[in-house]
Amino acid sequence: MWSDQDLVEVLRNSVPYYLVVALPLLIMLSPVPVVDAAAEFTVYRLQQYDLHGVAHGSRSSLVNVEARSLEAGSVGRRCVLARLADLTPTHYQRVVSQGAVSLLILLPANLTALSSHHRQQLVQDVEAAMLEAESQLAVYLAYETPELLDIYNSVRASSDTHTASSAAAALVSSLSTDGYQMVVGGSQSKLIPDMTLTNIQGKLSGYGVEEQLPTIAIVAHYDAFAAAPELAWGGDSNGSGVVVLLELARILSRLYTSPRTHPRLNLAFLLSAGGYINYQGSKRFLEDHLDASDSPLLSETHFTLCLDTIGTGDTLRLHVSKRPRENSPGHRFYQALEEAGAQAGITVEMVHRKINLQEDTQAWEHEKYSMRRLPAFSLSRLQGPKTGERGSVVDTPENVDLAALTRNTAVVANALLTHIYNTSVHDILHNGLAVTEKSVGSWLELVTSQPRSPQLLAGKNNPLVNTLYQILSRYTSEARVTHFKADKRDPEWAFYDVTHATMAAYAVKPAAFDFLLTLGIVLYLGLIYVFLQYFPKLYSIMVKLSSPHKSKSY
Amino acid sequence: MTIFHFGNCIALAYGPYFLTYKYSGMPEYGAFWKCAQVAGMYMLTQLCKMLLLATFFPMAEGPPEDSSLTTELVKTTVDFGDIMGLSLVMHRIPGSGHIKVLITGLGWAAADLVLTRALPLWVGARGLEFDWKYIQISLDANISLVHHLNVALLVWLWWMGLAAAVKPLVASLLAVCVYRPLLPQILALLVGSRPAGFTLLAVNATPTLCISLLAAHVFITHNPSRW
Repeated sequence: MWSDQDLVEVLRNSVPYYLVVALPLLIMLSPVPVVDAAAEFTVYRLQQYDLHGVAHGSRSSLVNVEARSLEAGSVGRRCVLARLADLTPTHYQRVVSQGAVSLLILLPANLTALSSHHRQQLVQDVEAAMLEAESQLAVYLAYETPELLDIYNSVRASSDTHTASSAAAALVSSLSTDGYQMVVGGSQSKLIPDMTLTNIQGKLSGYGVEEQLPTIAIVAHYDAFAAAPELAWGGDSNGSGVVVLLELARILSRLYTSPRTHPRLNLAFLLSAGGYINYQGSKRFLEDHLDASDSPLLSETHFTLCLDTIGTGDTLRLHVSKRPRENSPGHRFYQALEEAGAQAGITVEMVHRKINLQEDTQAWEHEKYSMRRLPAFSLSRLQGPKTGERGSVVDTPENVDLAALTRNTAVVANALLTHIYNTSVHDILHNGLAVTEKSVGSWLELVTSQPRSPQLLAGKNNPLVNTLYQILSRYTSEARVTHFKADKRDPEWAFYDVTHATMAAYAVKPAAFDFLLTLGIVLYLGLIYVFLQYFPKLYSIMVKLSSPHKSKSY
Repeated sequence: MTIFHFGNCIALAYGPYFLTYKYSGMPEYGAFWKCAQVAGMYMLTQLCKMLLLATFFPMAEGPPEDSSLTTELVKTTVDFGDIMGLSLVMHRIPGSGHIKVLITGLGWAAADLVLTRALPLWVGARGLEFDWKYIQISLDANISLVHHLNVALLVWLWWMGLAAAVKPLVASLLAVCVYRPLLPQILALLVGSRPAGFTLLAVNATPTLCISLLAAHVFITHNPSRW
């Protein structure tokens, strides 16, 4: 058995070596502790995509920096916290130019409560500014929760103290206030390889030899867009278009099954993908049916009706790139639409806008068809294609006015039937054929059940796509889906992943605080040392104090 | 906050132990190995206590604040096992009065520190987030050092054989030591809210200091020659 002295000698000799090797090894090997953060919340990242070679959106997704508020003087290498209401395009440009690492935008829980039109316009401006070009800023959006608001308020308060009264007060406050470290882990965002988009089409064949009958095509793109892909609900744009298409399919399939009302023309329905990335679905549809010569579907079309954003308001506008000639089917349809609109109390206008062949993106879906010399128009409540109302975060399902959508659907259905049967059809649309608010509401609920940014609908087995396909196959014949990808060598579109993440906010103290603490601890240990050194003296004093008692008791 | 803060907490917790060991004359007595023996006895005692608690007291549901005072009282009575363990080990430690007390007390407290407080500090203080509770854990370690020294002194006094007049005093002091963990709950009943954070530290520190003064007084008046 070792004696005490030997043991102590051994330890004194060997412990330093152990420590020098073991301690750093232990520290390196130990995992980063997953400690409870002050707050953890889901955040949605800004879009990141390339369209025709031009990069858009936020290019990075990792964050591990301190938080600052929007009003802070310099935000370089920090994460900026801002509320959506306070953010303007100018602020955004300033944040980018000062070299911030990340921007966290707090969204009010109820986005449609942004009642004033002016505020909505601001939001859309900010979205446009963020998506216009690419930036290395990692932009995230999150819904406001009470704890997140607490963090935001305390960060704002601490930024304010940088303009404090005296230097001493500023020093004390900077040493003791809580800072917040915002961390988003995971991996850097990368390209989604082999992303497939899906067109869903169906057909109702007319009475007679199919190939010899003319066709009317009804098209609506079923994707949506917004600053953040996971917030792209697309209520009005283009949920309303899809709803109208599905209602038309339902009504017309009824009429086509009954031999008394079976008309002598074909009807093609297309739910096209990639509407917001330059109508890739329609482009592919046209290539399939025009370039491949064995498909007779588009050999003779009366017109192609594209539906885009018809969920609210009192006006419907028919956008054309070339005015339809007198007595052409398109013109007759427009007249039918005017008549039906007048009966329902809405105005119908025609808006003429020539296609600019210099631009590589088309503004409306009908332009794709017009470029292939097919008569086409887009029906929308909007004045123009770039008002910003298409593809915004504020376009939630609550944005759609169900009564207006029902009325608009009825108007379009009336006009279509008038055109097909060449009579006025006031009283066909009742009972089973009537357009009810309930059915419109349930279609809308189905379509807006998930965010529909293109990358979220990709893949061959998306549930929403499957549901739409089943609906179309119920109402039409020869319903099918067509998957397509971007060109390999020169992709027209490319999307990146990491659309949502979990951000953790840790309450941290500034580095100087640690030094302060060390100072305090050294002082404390010094005190104890002093106490121990003087303990014998203290003891003898205590003995002297008690000895009068002792001598008395003895 | 990371490693540096962890280092701070460890220094705050271990510093006094280290200083006490070095500057109270223990190295001259070759006390390191004996302290280790005491630590071993501590682990054995804790094991027996845990077995007792697990056998006789089923797992309580609900938050700890809700358990009634009587249940907690009975549970804490098991801590008298601590005293028995201390007595056992003290008989085996050779040496005169104060060094015996010091070795036992320090060894016991060091074992307590390593087994109960090192892990929370390792896991928690290294994280990114700052929380005052790690500093509080370290300060609590200091308080428990004084507390264990107290208990060791009182146990030694008890076994030394005292005049009948003083025995009840020592016994009551020992009882107060054992039931000290119940103090926050008693205060909660009296005042209405449970003390937390630095208030809790103050609540723990005050009786410890008072007991140390009283115990020192008893020690002085009855065994000054054994210094």
